[in-house]
Amino acid sequence: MTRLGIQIGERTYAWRKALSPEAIARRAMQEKVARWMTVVNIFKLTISGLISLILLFLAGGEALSIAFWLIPSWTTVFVSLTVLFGLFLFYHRAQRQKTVDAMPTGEISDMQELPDEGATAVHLGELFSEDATIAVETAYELATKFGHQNVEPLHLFIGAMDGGEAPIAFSRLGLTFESMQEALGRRLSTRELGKPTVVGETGQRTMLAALVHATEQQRPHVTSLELFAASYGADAFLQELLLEHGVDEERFSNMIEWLRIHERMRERYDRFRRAAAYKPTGAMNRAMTSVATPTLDAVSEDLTAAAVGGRLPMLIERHQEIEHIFRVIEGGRQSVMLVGPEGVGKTTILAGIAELMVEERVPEILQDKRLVRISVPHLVSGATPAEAQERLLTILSEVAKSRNIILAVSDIDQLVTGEGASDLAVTFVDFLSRSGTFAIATTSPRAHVRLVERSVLSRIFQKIVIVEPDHTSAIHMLQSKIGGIEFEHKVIFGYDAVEKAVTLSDRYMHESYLPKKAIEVCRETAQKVSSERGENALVRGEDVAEVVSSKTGVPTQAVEQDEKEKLLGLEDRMHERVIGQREAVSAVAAALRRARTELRAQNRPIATFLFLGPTGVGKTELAKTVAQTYFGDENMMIRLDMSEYQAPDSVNRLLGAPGSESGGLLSEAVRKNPFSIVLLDELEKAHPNILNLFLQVFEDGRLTDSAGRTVDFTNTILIATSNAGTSSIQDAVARGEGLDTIKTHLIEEELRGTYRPEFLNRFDGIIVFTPLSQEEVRQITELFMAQVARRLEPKGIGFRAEPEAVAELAEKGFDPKFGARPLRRLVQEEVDNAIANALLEGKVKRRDTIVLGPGGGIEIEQGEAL
Amino acid sequence: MSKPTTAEFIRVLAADGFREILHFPLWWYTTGLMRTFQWATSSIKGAPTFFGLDVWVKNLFVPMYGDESFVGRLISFGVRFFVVLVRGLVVVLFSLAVVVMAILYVVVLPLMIFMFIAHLMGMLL
Repeated sequence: MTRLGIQIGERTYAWRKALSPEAIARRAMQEKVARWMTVVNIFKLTISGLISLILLFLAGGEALSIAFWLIPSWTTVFVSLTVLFGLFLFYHRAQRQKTVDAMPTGEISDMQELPDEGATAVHLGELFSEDATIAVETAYELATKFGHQNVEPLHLFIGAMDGGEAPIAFSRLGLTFESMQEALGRRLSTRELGKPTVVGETGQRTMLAALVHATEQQRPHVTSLELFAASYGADAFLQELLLEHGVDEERFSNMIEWLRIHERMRERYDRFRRAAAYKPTGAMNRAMTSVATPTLDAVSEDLTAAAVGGRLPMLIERHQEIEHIFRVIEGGRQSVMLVGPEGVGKTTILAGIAELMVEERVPEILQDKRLVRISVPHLVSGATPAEAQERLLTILSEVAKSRNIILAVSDIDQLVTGEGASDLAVTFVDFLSRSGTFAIATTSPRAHVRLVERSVLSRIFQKIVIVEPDHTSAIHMLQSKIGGIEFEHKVIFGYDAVEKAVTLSDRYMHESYLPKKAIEVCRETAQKVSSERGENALVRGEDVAEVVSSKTGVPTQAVEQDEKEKLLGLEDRMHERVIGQREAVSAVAAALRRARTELRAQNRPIATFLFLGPTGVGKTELAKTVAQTYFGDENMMIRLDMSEYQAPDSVNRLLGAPGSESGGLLSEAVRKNPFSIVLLDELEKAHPNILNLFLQVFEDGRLTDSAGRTVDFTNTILIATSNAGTSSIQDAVARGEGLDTIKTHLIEEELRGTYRPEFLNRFDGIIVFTPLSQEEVRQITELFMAQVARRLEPKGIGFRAEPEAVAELAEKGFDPKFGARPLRRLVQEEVDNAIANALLEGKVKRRDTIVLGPGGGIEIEQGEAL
Repeated sequence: MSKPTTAEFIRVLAADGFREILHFPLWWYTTGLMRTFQWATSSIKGAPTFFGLDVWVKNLFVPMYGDESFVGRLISFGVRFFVVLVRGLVVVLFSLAVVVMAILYVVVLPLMIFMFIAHLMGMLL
């Protein structure tokens, strides 16, 4: 049989021991025997110790003389026996703990076939933890039960599910063994049969991969979780099976990483607690060089003391940033400024530095020091500028004297008061440059641009940019927080919930940053789930989606059954408001369906349409209907009349004037309501510069306003309407040409002078609205009549229009040039006025019905008296 | 798979127990001795840090409590010198104790075996 091995450092590792039912039974028995022997040894020691104590008690004061211990007595016999038993127990315990060999370190070679059956290789099983050994044995038993020739990744996967952490991973992923049992059973029945069962090549590869993984992750041994992950990685069937249950490779590896993060946090906590015992928590350092700092203490928080007390969050990832900070500090005793938006973890990085200082795993210049964070609001509260400056000076002189303080200043921009010599920033910078000490400060990018860059602070602080973590890092950071949230709210998070919190908050909550916004979403969801479903409830992805929806107003939950029907029948629902324009309605409905099932590109607007056609045929009405259907309210619409933007400098009105902080009409509106329809009316009238602006929006889904903020358009639907080519449409319809021909003619001939081809190409759809027919106008009239009835409903008055009256109105209101627009006016003049008069004259009471007859006359049908 | 019988279990228990007893002295003077040696060296090496001696030696000439005056420096040096002496003594005593314990490890096993056998014989004969 092929024996595969891998070289790590100096030694070669391979699975060398043959598995057999006897060997497994023997190992199980030895395990039992060893446990029994511990019991027997403790028993012997206790009995012998008790007898010795009694005998010593009886011997009394004599036992204190040396002579007593030289003359044989039962006391000396039992005491020596007790000591021997104690030594033996010490040895026995040490033997039991030695079950796992030290993990290898060094360079990892590729897997290779070993000569002479790998006689010199170390047996892989020596590095396996108890649960990993049991997993392999279970896998073997499974293979023999089915009469399989080889133990394969499939068997190891099922074996690993038997204990250890793999079941936890499984349940957090929202999977159950039962739901897969059938598929696994079918797969098992297809394996090669043969006797005796051996660990086949794929099985060996899986175990070696588990070893490589454990070595790379610096685990103390190979556990069943590594086997679980390795068997998943080795078997395409398992990957497909999990994928069918919604778990792809990224999710799987993030889930494994979650368990690793927890384990690492536990290890770090243990190491940290040991180190914290050495760190003084008071003002005094170990070298006793410092002085008391009463003024500083009043306006600051000692981060190192807080870290010793376990009150600071643990820092996950961000190794590069920490290294960078240390490099700057070590390089030239320079002060650093962490520049990053609110919520990306600047404060947590400070906490991380404080923790490293407690462990003294920092450059020498930071050792035996404490990290103290000044609160600027505390410093300046209730003080005149001069007093504040005096306070700051006192604090700084305390810092200088004590020599063991590293200052941290959150939001250092608050120090910039801009009042010349009394500017606190000037005082602070002066102190730092003279005292040879340094500080760690934080600020936001906006404050940095606005205040810090132009102040003296920029002279002395080296800027380190803290960027928002990427998707995977944010998931890991959130995973490190989940334990605390679960404990606080007594709920359990599924992996899906964690991932959704990051994905959805990233996509829909643009005002704040990862990981903070995802953590907040998780906290809120945990609170909600625990109050709704009680203790130990599972937080699912759907719960998180619901919370994000309620915060943002965008439907983010998975499409459910009744909504599915709604989406499929979208055209019918839209036609309730928009008469005719079949092509336009179905194009828009299709775009909405794509958006709701997440098939659209995520970095572009949901949809972009150009509605072409004469006035009054339903272009704006369709836009309103979309707002109503997709965003739940027809007012979720940002409407810009492009005829107001004809001058070249109107871009400033849309994006804000250069240098201003207030933003522009369009950018501010979308920033505040990122989920809305942007309706650009009469686009052809806008200045060509503005069209270029939208070219970028269509392509990248974002714009940058005058203040440098990026405005996200990926959750908007952009609809531009245009009357360009109207007469050509009307003529073509009159000639009876098909819509496609009209559209081609429009794009190729009529619109060429108005829009550039690349601009037209960027639209998801150019939709031609045709002039209304007589019949369509009649239907619209009916809609208007229904609206009149709805308006009268709150007064308890009914309304009905006779069919002849409707036909008459439709005929009167129809104008091929202006579509249905004159109709609205007509309804107002003829119907609304008549009803208003009747109401004022007191002819109509509650429960009466107003009937509109031909010729505009109205009759009143008396309602039943009470 | 066949389940082991009670008799088989007792047999293995006895055999393993016997093997463990035989292996005991060998382990004591090989692996066990090495571990004790490692424990002793790391304890002695860590003692100056544990008792804060290194910090005090490093700061022997640094004034205490930020008092930079001449008198302050002088007093500070005196106090620090004294503290260093005391802490140094503690470190030495601690290290001695560790060495004694390591020596004890080496002799305790034969001593106890000898004492047990000799005294048992004395009582029985």
